[in-house]
Amino acid sequence: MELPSYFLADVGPDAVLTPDLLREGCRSLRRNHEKYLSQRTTSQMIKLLVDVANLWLDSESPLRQKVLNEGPLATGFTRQILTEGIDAFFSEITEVNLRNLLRQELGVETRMDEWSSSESESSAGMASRACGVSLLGHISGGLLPNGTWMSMTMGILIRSAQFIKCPTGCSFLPRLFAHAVYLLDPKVGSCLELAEWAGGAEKLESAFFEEIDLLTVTGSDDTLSSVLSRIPPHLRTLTYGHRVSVGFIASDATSPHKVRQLAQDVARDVTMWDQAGCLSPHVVYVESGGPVTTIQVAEHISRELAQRETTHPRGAISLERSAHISSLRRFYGIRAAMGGESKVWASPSSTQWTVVYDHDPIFQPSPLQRFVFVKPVADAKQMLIAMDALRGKVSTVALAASNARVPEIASQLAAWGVTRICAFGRMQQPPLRWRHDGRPCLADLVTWCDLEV
Amino acid sequence: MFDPISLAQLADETIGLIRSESLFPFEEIALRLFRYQHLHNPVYAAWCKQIGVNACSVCCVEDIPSLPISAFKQSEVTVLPQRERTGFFSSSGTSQGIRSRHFFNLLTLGVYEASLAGWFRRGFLTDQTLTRQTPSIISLTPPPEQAPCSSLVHMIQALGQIAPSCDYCGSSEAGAAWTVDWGQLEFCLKQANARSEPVVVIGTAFGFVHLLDASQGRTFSLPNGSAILETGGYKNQSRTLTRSELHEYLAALFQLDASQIRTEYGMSELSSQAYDSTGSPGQFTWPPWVNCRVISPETGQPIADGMTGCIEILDLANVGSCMRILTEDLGRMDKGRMVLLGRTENSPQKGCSLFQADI
Repeated sequence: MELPSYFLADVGPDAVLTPDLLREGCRSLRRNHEKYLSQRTTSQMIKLLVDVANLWLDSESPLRQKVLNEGPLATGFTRQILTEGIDAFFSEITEVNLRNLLRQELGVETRMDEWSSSESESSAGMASRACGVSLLGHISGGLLPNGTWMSMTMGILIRSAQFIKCPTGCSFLPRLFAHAVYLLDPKVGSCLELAEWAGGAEKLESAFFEEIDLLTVTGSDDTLSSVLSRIPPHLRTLTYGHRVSVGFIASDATSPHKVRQLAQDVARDVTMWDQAGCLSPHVVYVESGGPVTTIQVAEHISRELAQRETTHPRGAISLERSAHISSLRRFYGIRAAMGGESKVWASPSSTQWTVVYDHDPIFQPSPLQRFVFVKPVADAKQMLIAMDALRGKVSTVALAASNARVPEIASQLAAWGVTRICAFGRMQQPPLRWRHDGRPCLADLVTWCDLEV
Repeated sequence: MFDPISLAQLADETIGLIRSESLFPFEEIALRLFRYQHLHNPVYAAWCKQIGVNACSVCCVEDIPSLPISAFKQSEVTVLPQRERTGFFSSSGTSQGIRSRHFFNLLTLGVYEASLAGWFRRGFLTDQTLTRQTPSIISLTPPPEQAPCSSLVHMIQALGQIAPSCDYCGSSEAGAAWTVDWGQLEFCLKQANARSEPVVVIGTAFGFVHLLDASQGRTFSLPNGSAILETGGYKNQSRTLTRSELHEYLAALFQLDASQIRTEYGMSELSSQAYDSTGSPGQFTWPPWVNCRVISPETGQPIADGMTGCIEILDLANVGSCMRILTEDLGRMDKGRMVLLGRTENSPQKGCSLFQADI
């Protein structure tokens, strides 16, 4: 399937993007928004998004085949990893989920189409409507597509034109999303633009900031502070920083007949998108005292990682990363050899997967690419103390515990600052209505008008 | 248990070999040293056991297992019982603030000094001008009394004993960060110029950057036949430059040809050093008592010349600790020379997860 060059990012690395070209692109988006998007209804946008998702999910679709055929070279993820990631993301985009999302975020589904009132507004004699900005800008952060796909989905739902800045070499999957939109609805497709440039290009970015109405930025602390230092005062900006995620297995969740399934779920979380995302676990904390010992839990996870490697192999990694993984394996191997309470399970003759069991509960960042620490703790409180340096930087905690203990542990996690608690096996598959970094996912992107007359 | 060979014998033999310029039975000595270290170095023995290597199964040099360099940070990697140790060299803490320690006694220090002096003469002073007359040493490091655990400072002190003179222009008051005294360097160079004696100015990369940052357009002039020897490593003590940038700026600062600026590769966990060759910056040559291989990080096996991997060093002069070390440096071999390419640090990748540097 050959795709026409609709977007700047389609032209490839030879295209020279100048501030003038970027400004012209933004103005054209704004015109198209006025012509094609502002009159659309929420139901039309929901239908379009569901159709886009179906196109990505349909195994016969040439677009999906193109993604799976060309994706491994373009992204470094294997075909199996891409397939799993695509299915996990797009299966969430259903009409029911989109309508639930609107109700969660805006109170009423029709909020963007007409003056609408929730029950409390109605009793106060008020109505409101929400309106997306004309031109929404995104600075996306990295190879993992989920965040960018999610931003684009939200932008389409609120009927904003969007300009998406991708890091160099990372536009393949967002571009294919935009092409799917173009294929199904060229007018809406003409309200999307994508370009690649290396972050920090000040002239390009200041032109970008002048043209857009609202900006979302995803990136490291350095990226965020660099961007924020250059944002003009009038531009509202939403930032999403890099985060880490961990797992917690309570002692009552590890019965001998449950542990294998649990280990399979952990292995899925570790291997999805090769652990590159902020929802990937670095460490799995295991509460001591369960019927299966903490070290046995680690061993089960290692078996399931080995198994996952046969069905969902990891992509190729750089020499530096491979060297770092092997160096860390040796570090813990020495600790184990010297009688420390450590043990390493690792793929033979490769760095494809690694489990390090280590008695020291202090959080250790994993080099990722399927490298997970398993650490025993007395309870959730000890885990939170061990992660103290990360307070405010933890996104998701996967939790396995009996129903009776979930509320108590979840309350501890929430009070500490965790913004998402989910089951193992679902870490990389948040629901569409997930509040990224604990903030509204849609309500932050719209402006409101209240009618009090 | 009957101990067929003593550390004193091994040390004597190794010094003899280092001083001899002829070929020597590298393999025979390496295997003897392996057996000795396996028997007397508990950390090495535990590591061999951990990776499933039995001492009896090691039949040739290639079989000798390497010890990961991080072991020096985690444990006491030594054949010396506590009572026999007279000191240790400590790393300058390149990461995470944990320092490695390399213990010595008089015997093993003797081997270390024989190795460093031997290869300085044969591997560094190969430039015709330098060999005509042994140069004096001017060091940008603090003097030994201010940095007693620095293997680099000890090396410079030992080289000072074979040089006409050795002056220190750096300081480290009460163990604080190393600084360089511009005025002292200027004074030392003035004296050397007055004597028309060649000098080698030795310093860390960050020490030279401190000089560059303090130069404000000033320059130094060196006597004919002099050289600069930078030892690499920034240790977060200064801004970081690429090697070619650093050498270009140093050539301007010292008014030298870039070929007179050389680099040493060494570390506190080893007893021998490699020098890059004049005209081949970044390509290091080891002495004959060192065997350097490159190991694939994926398979853990040696890889062919030209392929990049982790650098592994077998240093016969490491008699008192462990002779084969797997470093955390990346490089490749090119016609017998080691090409250094970087370190195996946890560099950020294109995802949205936090990394070590952010935490």
